[in-house]
Amino acid sequence: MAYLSTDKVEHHFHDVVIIGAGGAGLRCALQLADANCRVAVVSKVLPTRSHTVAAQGGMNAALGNVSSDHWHWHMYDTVKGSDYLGDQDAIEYMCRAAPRMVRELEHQGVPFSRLDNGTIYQRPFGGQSREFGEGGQASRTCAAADRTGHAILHTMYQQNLRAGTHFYDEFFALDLMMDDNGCQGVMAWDIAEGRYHLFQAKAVILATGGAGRIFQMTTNAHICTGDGGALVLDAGLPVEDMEFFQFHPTGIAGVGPLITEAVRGEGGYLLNGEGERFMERYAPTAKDLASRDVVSRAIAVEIREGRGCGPNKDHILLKLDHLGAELIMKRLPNIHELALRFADVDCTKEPIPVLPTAHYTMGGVPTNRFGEVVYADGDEKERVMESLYAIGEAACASVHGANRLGGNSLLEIIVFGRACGDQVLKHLGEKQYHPKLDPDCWKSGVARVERWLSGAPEQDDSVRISGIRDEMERIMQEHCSVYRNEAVMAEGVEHLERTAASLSSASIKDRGRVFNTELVEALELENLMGLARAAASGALARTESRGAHARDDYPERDDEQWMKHTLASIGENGVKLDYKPVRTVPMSVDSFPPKKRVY
Amino acid sequence: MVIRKDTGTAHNGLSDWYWQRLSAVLLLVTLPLPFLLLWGVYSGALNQFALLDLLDHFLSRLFHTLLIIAIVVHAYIGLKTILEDYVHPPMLRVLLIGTMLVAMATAGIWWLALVWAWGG
Amino acid sequence: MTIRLSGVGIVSDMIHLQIYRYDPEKGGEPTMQSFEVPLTKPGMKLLDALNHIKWNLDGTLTYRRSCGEGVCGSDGMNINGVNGLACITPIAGLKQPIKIRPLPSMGVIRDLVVDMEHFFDQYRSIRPWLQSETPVPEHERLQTPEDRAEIDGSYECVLCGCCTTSCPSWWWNGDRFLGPAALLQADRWIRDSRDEMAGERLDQLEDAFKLYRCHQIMNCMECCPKDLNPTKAIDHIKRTLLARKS
Repeated sequence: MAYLSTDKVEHHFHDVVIIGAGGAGLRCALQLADANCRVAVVSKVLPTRSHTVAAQGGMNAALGNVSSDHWHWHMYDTVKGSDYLGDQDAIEYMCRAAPRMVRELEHQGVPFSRLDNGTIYQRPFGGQSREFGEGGQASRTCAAADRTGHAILHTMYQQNLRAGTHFYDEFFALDLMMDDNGCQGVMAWDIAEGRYHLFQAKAVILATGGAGRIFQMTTNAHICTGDGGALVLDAGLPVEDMEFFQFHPTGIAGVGPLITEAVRGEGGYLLNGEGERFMERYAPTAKDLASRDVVSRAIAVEIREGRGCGPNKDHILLKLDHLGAELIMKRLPNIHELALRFADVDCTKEPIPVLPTAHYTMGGVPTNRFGEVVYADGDEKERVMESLYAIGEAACASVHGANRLGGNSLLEIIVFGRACGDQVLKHLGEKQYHPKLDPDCWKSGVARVERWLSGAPEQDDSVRISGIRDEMERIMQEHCSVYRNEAVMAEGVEHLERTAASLSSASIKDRGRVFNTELVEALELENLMGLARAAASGALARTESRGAHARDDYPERDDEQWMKHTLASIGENGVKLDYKPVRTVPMSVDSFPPKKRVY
Repeated sequence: MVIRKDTGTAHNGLSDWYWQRLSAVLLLVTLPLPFLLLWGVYSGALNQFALLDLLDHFLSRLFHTLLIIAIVVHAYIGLKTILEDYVHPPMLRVLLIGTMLVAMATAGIWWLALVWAWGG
Repeated sequence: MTIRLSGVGIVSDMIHLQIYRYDPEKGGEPTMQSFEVPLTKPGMKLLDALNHIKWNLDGTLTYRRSCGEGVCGSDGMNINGVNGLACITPIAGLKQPIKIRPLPSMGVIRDLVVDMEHFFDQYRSIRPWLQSETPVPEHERLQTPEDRAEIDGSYECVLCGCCTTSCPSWWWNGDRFLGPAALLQADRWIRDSRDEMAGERLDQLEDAFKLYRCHQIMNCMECCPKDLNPTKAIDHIKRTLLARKS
């Protein structure tokens, strides 16, 4: 079969290859497999280990099961939550599709919690309102207790088992095969066997999730290393809005695991060291259910001004014991378990110590609302890259803009997983055969691995990758956190560039080929580094405060100058920044013009 | 671990389980009876003639029969399960289980013959 | 960098571990290697210790991990003889030296990484997806909170494999006995009021090996990191079969 110039690489032919087996990748795979495509899902972990599994609170959809609701209100909340940086056509598409998607999930078997009348249970979440902010709090988040992500991921995996999707578990994506006609496939490394595989496909879909591991304290899994964004950067394409990184207000202090916003949705609230319910000062109406960026900043201010809790006044307390043990065990059983295990706190009796913790990558691979990857080509800012798609947290559609609303991420992965599948199906009709590849196209992917395995052996004085990773995480944590300013960030960018350069002289001890996890960590670090650089440089350049990007030195939003998306690419001379306008025109309704954000 | 081709189900699981439990219930009732007799003998409440009279009584023989059947069924299924657990070559397993069945059935019938004094 | 520990007493702020090592490329018999790790924080978990070894002492130590909070099920391993998830197992309370081995009875790929393929094949064999013939309604299917509560205690399974690999019946007959994890999921679909194939599911399970190899040893329930009870689920399947027959 081989027309590659090597026999060390196994060559696969699929209609579609999806990198990543989280909710977005699996939903997309399901759409394609049910249409009788040959779909390969290439994932660096077993599918049920993907980080979707850790999502807790739920998925937004204007079902109106608890209180009257409308997708248009949901759209308004999402645009407002995004601090007007979200693309309104994509947001309209997502919010309109939401109720149908949730019902489809139910039909596929997701064990949603139920209301007494048998319909899907919905809870209030942060940033939700009715009647365009005028009608009070909405209950829009469909939940399976506080394990909604687990329920959805497992259901998607089950449906793919039914549909006969081809799974390549524990394969690490190394390099995209790009040519003049777009993306032709991906090189991958079989972690368990230690062998190379080339997956040639008529469409390549990046569904690799977020990059939370660029930070020291994160709710993200170890596997959230932004692999898709890094593949795109390596291909010379830009990533979008990486400076917008969501800090979830309530990660368990000092450890990281997430305490869902659903705790506050069910009636929990935050207390400072003086026992004050301080969110009333920052968001008089929504209080503890203000948008995440607002709550995280409020916590940061409370701690900075000496009103933290504990002997070091370094955290805030999340009180929920007043909800009663019965409700907690019914609606928030997983939170009870996590608090007990990681904070040594029985939350039916005591409050949980929490801190804003890096949580969600709003930015990512720039796409349109069909999941097609777009790039700037001269004056044309949104040229479609043929055969390359991105969905889920890896992508930036951009439905979250500068700040994501809780409950919109599970929605995004399902809506755009499905939409992308449909778009791919449209294009597959035009592509009957796999084109012939450059016989040497495998080389750069192989070189990426061999640089670590066959390079100079580790010396006592050689730089360890764990040291570099610690340094990167520390820089991002200290220089690019909830509050940012010019001097601190400039120093951070400089440090980061130095740290990134040191990666080229690093080496690993493990030279084995079978299940070499040190190699995987090295590759992941390469991926993280590119995205961290894009995030830090983008943040330094953006001289305004918008959503999750909050600056002491530029405290106001600047719509004149900065209502635009950042596009960061990495060339020989470091990070290169470009910008493109926000798509403010929705598909069918009137645009929501920017106004001051008050909760 | 060898992945075998799934050849469906033998539909023998429930009946084994069912008879195992049914025989256990029977044993629960009938197994104490011989011990009751023993206790009677040792406490002096029953002499040899009274004991023989009791054993010859129809009801006593009936219970004795139930006991024998329950023991044989229970022991057979239990030992069969153990053989299934540990003896993996199918032919050897069938041979062992078959041998066990013949031995137990023979012992059971012999015991029944004693109880009902067949041929005597 | 490893410290041998023969006869050395336990230092209060150091953790002693003995970890199963096997590298197929080097060959030879598996060995137990000793490590010493500082206790860095209160509430430190076993995964933190493994990460410390990998990142500071020996980069070749191989194990799976992902979420670090007990919901993804990656880091199932045998800890002092009991299966569990390293990320939610506190160091405090473990007898030292902490002996860590891969999940029992599984093919070892390297160190603590085992081959999960057969485990997932068995999961797939119970057809773990909702099956119904009634056309789906326009809106969601209705399900009472009581009916929904029926599947509490089974849908939470993270497929870590701790239960199945702790089951002696599965050790002896794992090629045919489906094991606690797969049977717990089978029961989840039998219980789910929305699934209409309970009969077919029961037909598929009514076998001396697939289901009835469970001898109620209860290791599965003892070790489940999510506090689920597969033995009870298996018993429920048996009772449902009995009810159907009688």
